[in-house]
Amino acid sequence: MKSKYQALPKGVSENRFDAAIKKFQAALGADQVLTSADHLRPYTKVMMSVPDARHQPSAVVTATSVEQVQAVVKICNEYKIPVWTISTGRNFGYGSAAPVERGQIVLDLKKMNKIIHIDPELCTALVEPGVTYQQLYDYIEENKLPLMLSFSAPSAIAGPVGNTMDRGVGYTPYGEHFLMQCGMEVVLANGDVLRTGMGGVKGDKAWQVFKWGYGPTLDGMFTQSNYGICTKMGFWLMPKPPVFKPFEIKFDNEADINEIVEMLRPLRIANIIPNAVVIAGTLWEAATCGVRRSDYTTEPGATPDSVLAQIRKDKHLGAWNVYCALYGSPEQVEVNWKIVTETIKRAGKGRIVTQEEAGDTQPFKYRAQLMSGVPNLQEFGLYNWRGGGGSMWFAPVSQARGSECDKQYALAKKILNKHGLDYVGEFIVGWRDMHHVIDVLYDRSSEEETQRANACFNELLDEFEKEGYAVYRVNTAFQERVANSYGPVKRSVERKIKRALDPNGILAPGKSGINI
Amino acid sequence: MSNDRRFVLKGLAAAGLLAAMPWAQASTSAAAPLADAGVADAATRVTPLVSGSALDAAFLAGVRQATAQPAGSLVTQPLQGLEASTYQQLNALLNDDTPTLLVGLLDDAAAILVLDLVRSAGGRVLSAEPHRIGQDSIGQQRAGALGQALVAGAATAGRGQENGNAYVALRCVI
Repeated sequence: MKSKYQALPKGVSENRFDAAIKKFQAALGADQVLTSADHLRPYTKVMMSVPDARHQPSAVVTATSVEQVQAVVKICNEYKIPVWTISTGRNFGYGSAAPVERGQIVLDLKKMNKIIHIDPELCTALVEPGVTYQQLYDYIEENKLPLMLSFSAPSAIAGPVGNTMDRGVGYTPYGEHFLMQCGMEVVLANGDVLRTGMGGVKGDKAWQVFKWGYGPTLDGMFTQSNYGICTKMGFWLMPKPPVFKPFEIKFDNEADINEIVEMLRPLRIANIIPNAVVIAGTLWEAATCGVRRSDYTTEPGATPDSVLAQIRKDKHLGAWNVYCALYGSPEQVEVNWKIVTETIKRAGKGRIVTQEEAGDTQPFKYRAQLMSGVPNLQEFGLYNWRGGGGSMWFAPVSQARGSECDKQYALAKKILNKHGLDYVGEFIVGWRDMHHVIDVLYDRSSEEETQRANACFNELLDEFEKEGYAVYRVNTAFQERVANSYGPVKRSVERKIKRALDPNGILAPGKSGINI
Repeated sequence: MSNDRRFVLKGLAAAGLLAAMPWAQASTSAAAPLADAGVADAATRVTPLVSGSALDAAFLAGVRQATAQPAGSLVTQPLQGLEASTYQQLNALLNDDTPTLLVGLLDDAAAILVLDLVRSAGGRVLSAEPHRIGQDSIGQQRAGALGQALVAGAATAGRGQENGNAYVALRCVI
C-alpha cells in the first residue's frame, strides 16, 4: 500500500509515524515539521552514484533551541525514529543534506544560527550549528574585529560547526579545524546536555581557551560520529596579520610532484610557510577558472593528455600549481620570502607568481581569498567540468612525502581513466600529512556513467587499501565500506560506545558505519 | 524581508551567480498560467534565473511568453560583479514578502547553489531535472520551451541532446 509519506523509518508503521509526527508538531510547531515531497526534495538531492531513493528522508524537523533538540531526541526514543542531524547540510561531495539511510528524519539546525560570542582579545568564538562562514565573516567585518577565518572551499554557505564536526580542513595557518576547536555542547541520546573541556565547571570562563579540561578528553569522539548532537562549538580564530603575501608556484611536469613535496615539506614543518599548502592538478585549476570539458572535446571517456596539455597552454596553468602564503609582520614576511625564493631557486624548477603579477585572475584570486579568510564559492566551477551533477570526493591521506604523492597520483589517475573519468585532484599539505582530495566527477543523469563512477569509486577504495591507504572522510553511500578499512577492533569499540550512549540507536544509525 | 530570504540572496551573490545572472522579474496576473497545485496559492511573482549561457535569451523569452506579460513589463536587470552594490540591488528587488516562483535554466554549479539556498530558506522545490542542450537552433528552441513549461508547471524531464551542455531546469517556490 502506498504511504502518504515519501519514506518511512525502518521498522516503523505509518500509524506509528503519524503519532510521532503529531508529537514533533506539538513540540516544535507545525511549521517546523515537513513531510511534503516539495519540501523534502532539496534534502534528498545527492551527488553520489546511488539512487536518490536510498537516501530519502521521511520527514524534516527544524529546531530553534537546545530544548527543542532535547524534545526531538525524546520523541525519537519513544517511537524509535532514527534522526540524521545537519547544521547547514553543505557537505556536497562527502554527502549532502540527505540521511545515510532511507527513512531517517532530518533534524535541520539551520535556525540555530546565533554567533554567541566572539572575543577579539583571546581570539575565540562560540557559535551555534546554523552559523555560516559568510555570517561570521560579515560579523567580523561589520565590527572591525582584527580576526581572520579559516574555512573549506564552499566557504560562504558552509559553517564551522558542520565542517569541524566532519573534520574538514581549510587553507590558512588555522586550517586543521578540529585542532582549533575548543569546547562543545552536545545533546546526548538520553537528552542530557554535555559540555566538554572546561564547559561543565560552574562559573568557568576558560571553556573556549583550554581544550582538555579534566579526565578523558571527549571532543574527538563526537566528530564524524553519531554519539550526540552538537548544539554549540567553540573555536580559535587567527589574529589578522599585518602582512599577507599569497603566491603560486607553477610546475610544468606531472612528474614534478615528488620534488615539489620534498621541497615544501621542510618549509611547512618549520612554519616558514604556515598554512596548508595546496598542490592543485591541471583540471582542478581549469574547472575553477571556468573551463568546461565540452569546450575542448565531446568525446566520451577520460580526457586525453593532449587536451590537458592544450588547456595548460591556453589558460597558462601548470601541471601542478602550488598555492601558499606568508603571514606576519613586514620583517617576518621579508625573511620568510627570502627563504622560500632561495629554496625554489636552488630546486631549479617552478615559476613563482605573486599577487601583484596575478592580479584578479582566477584561480589565483579565489585561492588567495581562501588563504586569507575571505569567503567565495569559486570552486563550485568543478561541477561544470563534466556537468550532470555527479561528484564524490575520494580523499586518501598519506605521509607528506614526495614518493607517496607520486604513487597515489599514478594509481588514482590509472583507475579513473580506466573507468572513463578524469583525475581532478589536489594535495593539501598538513604539517606532516597529505590530504589527497580527488573529485570523482561524472554525469549523474546518465545511468551508464553513474554505474562506471560507482565501480570506479569502489576500485579506488580497494586498490588504495591494498597499498595501505585509507580515506579520512567519505560520502554517506560508502561510509560502511570505509569503516572496514580501519579494522574490526575499532568498529567493535565504536559499537560498544554507541550501545552505551544510545541504546535505541536513534542518532544517525549508519553514520561512519556505526550502529548499535 | 525575512532572514532566510536575505541569506538566499546573500548566498547567491557570494556564489558569483549574480555576476553573470540577468535577473528578470515579472508579476503574474490572475490569468497567468500558474494554476498547478501549490503554486497558484503561493506565488504571485515569477523570477527567472540563468547563469550566463548562450541559451539565456531563449529561456527568458519562453518565460516571458508563459507569464503572458507584454515584453516591456518583464524587467531585466543584469547585475554586475559581486560588490556591495550588486547585493543591494538584488536585495531591493526582493525586499518584500511576496511569494516568488523561481524558474531556472542553470549550469550545475549554479543549480546546486540555488537548490541549497532554497532549502535553507524553507522553500519548496517543485522540480529539478537535468538536461543536455546544444547551443544550436534546436537547443535554443528547447530552452524557450523549458522556460514556458517551467512557468506553466508542465513536465520538463528528458536528457535532450547527448552532446549538449549540461543544465538543470528547476522550479521552486520561496
